[in-house]
Amino acid sequence: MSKLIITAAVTGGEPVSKQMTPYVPCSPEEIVEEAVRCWEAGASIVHLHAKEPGTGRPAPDPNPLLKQYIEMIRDRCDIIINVTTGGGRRATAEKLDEMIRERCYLGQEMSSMNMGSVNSWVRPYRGTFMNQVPTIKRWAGYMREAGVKPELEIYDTGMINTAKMLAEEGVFEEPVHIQFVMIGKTGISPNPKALMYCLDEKPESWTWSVCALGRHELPMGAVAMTLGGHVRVGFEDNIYIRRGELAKSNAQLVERIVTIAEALNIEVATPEEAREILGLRRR
Amino acid sequence: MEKLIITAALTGGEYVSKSTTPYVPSTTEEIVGEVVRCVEAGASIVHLHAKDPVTGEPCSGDPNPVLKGYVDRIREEVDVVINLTTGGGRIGNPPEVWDELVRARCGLGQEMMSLNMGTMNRWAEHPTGKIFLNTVDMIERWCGYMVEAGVKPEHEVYDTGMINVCRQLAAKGIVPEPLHVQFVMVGRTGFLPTPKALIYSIDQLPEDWTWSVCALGRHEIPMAAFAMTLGGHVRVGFEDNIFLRYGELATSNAQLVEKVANIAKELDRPIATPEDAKRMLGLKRP
Repeated sequence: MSKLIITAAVTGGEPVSKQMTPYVPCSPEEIVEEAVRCWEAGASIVHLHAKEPGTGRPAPDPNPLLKQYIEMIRDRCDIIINVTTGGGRRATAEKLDEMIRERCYLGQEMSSMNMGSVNSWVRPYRGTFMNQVPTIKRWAGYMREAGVKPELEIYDTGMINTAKMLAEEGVFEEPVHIQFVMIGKTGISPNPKALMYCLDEKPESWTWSVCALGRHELPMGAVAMTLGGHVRVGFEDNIYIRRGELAKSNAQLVERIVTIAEALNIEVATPEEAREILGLRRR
Repeated sequence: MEKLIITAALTGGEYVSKSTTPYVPSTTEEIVGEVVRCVEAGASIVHLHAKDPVTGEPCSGDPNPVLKGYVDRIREEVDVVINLTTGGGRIGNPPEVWDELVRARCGLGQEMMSLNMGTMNRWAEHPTGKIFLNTVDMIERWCGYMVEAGVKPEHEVYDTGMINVCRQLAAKGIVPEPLHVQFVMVGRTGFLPTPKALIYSIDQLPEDWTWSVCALGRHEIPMAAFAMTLGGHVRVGFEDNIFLRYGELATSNAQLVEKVANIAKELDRPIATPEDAKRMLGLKRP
């Protein structure tokens, strides 16, 4: 079994703000501190969104902030940086496109890539998360040119089909890395049976990771690692350390996954080992 | 095992026109004739879209009067469960108009209506774009219109996550249980047309719900055979497949109905009459 790559999604996506948890890091300094704490706890990848410093809400112009996070993190540790393609969606399609192209050159090694369109159930973001095939192809091209490895975010099982067809067309280079985002409600159910089905559809050579929302985060992390998968945790998916108790740092969630892995005799990958497993180009 | 409900989706959706196959029924009389033939062959439900009588393309403008014409004429000819699409009317209409069209369409005298259970990408080019948009708000609202009108929704599930949406509609009491689900195995950006995908899907459904399968192209008949062995129901017809066998166009939807009816007979699975289907699905007479 390969060593376990732990991703810490520390900043939270759109819904996670100071209102939801006072512990979400928001200023560049807080975010960098949190990335370093997670790295010390055993995370080899940090996944980042751009936050408005005071409120923790999504920043309207994400690229300059993301660049700042990346540079400051690079000064402190060798963790792999994975930047979202989310954010800035209020811009026009052309502007967004340009923003994403620019975002491939901020110095990160990975970027997330949403593999399809899906409804979102939860307010206030209730609506549709649109990621059409031509956009996926275009953004994949930007990442290829920039030497950034895409992490394919799979929200429902049909997106595995999309990923396979695009990989066959050469849109994604092997080895492909996918993240099963078990959102439930309108997408993949966060349960072992759903994961088994997904794995069965996935090409053997692809590496994969799981993240599940809320109380499903840690149990599904445990299931994934027993199956040879990798795990993502962090405030983006879950803000609680246990029922009714907010986690004070993302690192607490990383620590829990590390403890489970140790109990299972699964070794945790260093960033260098994770680069090896994922075939990342050195920076 | 319960009797087998065969649905004939005989008009084709947006992808099927006279230029795809000359055998697609397009005028009201062609459609009524095709309905009668499919019922004789064993279909108990017909699923209908509104067609331009000459080209067989989706009719332009308001599909409701066209659909009403089909329903009224079919009622004169034959006893069958009528299931109308919620598609059509998307092009060139703002969402409010579209919404009103669907609400009005619930009162055309049909027993059932299809309800798309989520948003997904389209792989192929399509006049309404690369995203098949069915938001949670639309689903909840349209489902409400149907229930209010006494029309039973057929929940069209294009990917496994949409099963979760069905479960939530039921849990919220927006639609009474048991639900009737159609697995639309579109492949590519959605459901794979494979036994494995189907087994996984039915495992996610509550025991007492009914379900049916349709798969595209050459997968239509094999997946139907598979579904019926598992106790499911089947949909066939030009909407999903226009070929009788490799390279040979079906000259009538009824040929496809016959194919699955023959398989059912060999499996000793009795075929439901329209009366049976109404009872099994708990349909109210309109």
